[in-house]
Amino acid sequence: MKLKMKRLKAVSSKAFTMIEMLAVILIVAILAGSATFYIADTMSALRMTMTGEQLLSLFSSAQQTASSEGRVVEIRFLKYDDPARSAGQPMFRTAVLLRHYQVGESSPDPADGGMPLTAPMSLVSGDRVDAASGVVFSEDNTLSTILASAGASQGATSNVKVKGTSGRFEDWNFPHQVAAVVSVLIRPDGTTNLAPSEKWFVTALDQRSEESSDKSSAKNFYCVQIDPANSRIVSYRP
Amino acid sequence: MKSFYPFFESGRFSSIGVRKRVRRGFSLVEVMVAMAILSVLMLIISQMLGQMQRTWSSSVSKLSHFRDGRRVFDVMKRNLSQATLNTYLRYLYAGGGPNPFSPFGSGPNAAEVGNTLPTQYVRFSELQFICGPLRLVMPGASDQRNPGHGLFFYAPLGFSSGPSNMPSALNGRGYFVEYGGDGSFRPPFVQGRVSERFRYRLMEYLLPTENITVYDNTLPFAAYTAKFQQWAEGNVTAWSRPVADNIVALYVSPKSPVALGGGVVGGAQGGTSGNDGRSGIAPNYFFNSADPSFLGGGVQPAYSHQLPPAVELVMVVIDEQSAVNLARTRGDSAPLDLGSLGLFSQGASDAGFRQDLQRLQDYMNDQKINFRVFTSTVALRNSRWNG
Repeated sequence: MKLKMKRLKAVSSKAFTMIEMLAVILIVAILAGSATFYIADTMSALRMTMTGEQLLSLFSSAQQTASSEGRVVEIRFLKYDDPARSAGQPMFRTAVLLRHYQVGESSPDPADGGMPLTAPMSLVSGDRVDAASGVVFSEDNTLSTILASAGASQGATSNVKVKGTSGRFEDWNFPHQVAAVVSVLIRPDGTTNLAPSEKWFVTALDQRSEESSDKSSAKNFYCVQIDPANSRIVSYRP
Repeated sequence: MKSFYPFFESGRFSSIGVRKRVRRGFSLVEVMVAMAILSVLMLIISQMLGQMQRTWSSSVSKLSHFRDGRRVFDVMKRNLSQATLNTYLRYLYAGGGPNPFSPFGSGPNAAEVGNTLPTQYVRFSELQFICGPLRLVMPGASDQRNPGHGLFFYAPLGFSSGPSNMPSALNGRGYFVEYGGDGSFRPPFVQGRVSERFRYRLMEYLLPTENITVYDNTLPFAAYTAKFQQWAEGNVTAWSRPVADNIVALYVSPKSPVALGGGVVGGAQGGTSGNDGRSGIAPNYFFNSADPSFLGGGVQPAYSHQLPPAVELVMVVIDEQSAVNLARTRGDSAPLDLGSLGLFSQGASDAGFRQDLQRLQDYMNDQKINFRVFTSTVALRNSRWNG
């Protein structure tokens, strides 16, 4: 019996003691704690990249739609107040793609039976970008020349329709109160409604940098540039 | 009451069982082996993920850049097909005055000079269509940074710097390739934060309607002849902007869909008797509709103030990843040496063209670069070729 006890003791001392376990858990906790800091940074960078890439592909799909369908395509930036993200401070968070239909073109609404349109119409087809949480499109003049001219809703049409669930066309309603609209029009020949002598770009920025006074020194951004004369699209990411 | 499983009750058995369970922790060796296996697995998985990511991004970049190239090629074709010269007939005088189009001497109240009767009708246009090796075509072209050919013409494209609604206003338009950084095109705030991208780019020359200078009739005739040796509007850099990245070369071959019997007679563009659709129009791939050399006397050559019936375009696009690698190795000096191959510079004929195209593809293959060659023949709607 004595011998047995001895052996037992010797073996059990080889397992982890409570103190050891606690020490390990503490170390792991410290490591995990410091990692979350970096992970949060990485996550926000990831969200920025995602938003930027979506915007880039929205621009290039607008450009392609314009040239393949031979119609004017609009990218409409919407500035609105989203209580879920920042109350009382409207910001540009959404970009929507609209196809323009001119007067006299046959109506895209199946209910009209191909009759020519009597008023210009634009159609929302579902291509849109909603900035990820914590990301906005800056309206600072050095970061986003396109959005800095907010309020001058150049070329924005009022008759905006969307294809409803039943297949019928309905008026398009944005769920938030829109504070400002900026429109970029891309024509089939690649020209835009932007002045050809300037440089035009939009920058996605994290919301905190946009709220701060020193926006242009933000470390993390995703800038999409469009050439006003030939709609070449380039992105810049640090 | 006796249990169903009597041995559980037995002190001996249970004590052994418990004891065994307590005793059994992992030994250090076991843990280390497990960790080693785990880390090997993780390593393999992370490498596979990295590989997948690379494949994905390279295929995306290939797709998107060739798509960009295709779009630009279509735009170029569409604009080129609208090229115009608006040629008319006018008198040519051989009286020896300063201007062969006028019987008068120079100065505001100049008298008639020599023979005041016109000697012949000639085709004429203030406009120009010029294409060929860039050093012949574009003022200020560099052999190193501007490989391949350039193409400049006028077309009613309705481009103006101000807001305008003139869809058919006349513009100068041109295309050529340039290697360089993007410092002057990018948003100013990006400078210093995103490293400069050195790329081959297809440049589009867009001369707004209001900046066309060829109708300026105050220019003395001597200056006119000097100006029209190359693209006459000059100042190409000021009106050019990049339209697509990663386009390493553009070649332009004016041609006729049918073989030309008569061919070109003399002139700066050479050639004596055309035998196929290419050599009959631009035997050395150089075509300048406004070439002024015949004005000194002689028969007006076929190419003079005429648009070629068709133009074959060759455009070479590489993918973004290859472009990044090229820029890394050479920085701000052009990494490819297409110029030294002397492609599409002489002996234009259908056979010669095909041969040069093959050489071009061989060269690109040798560079181990992912590339694609776009070729297309564009018919010029406004051409009334009469050769």
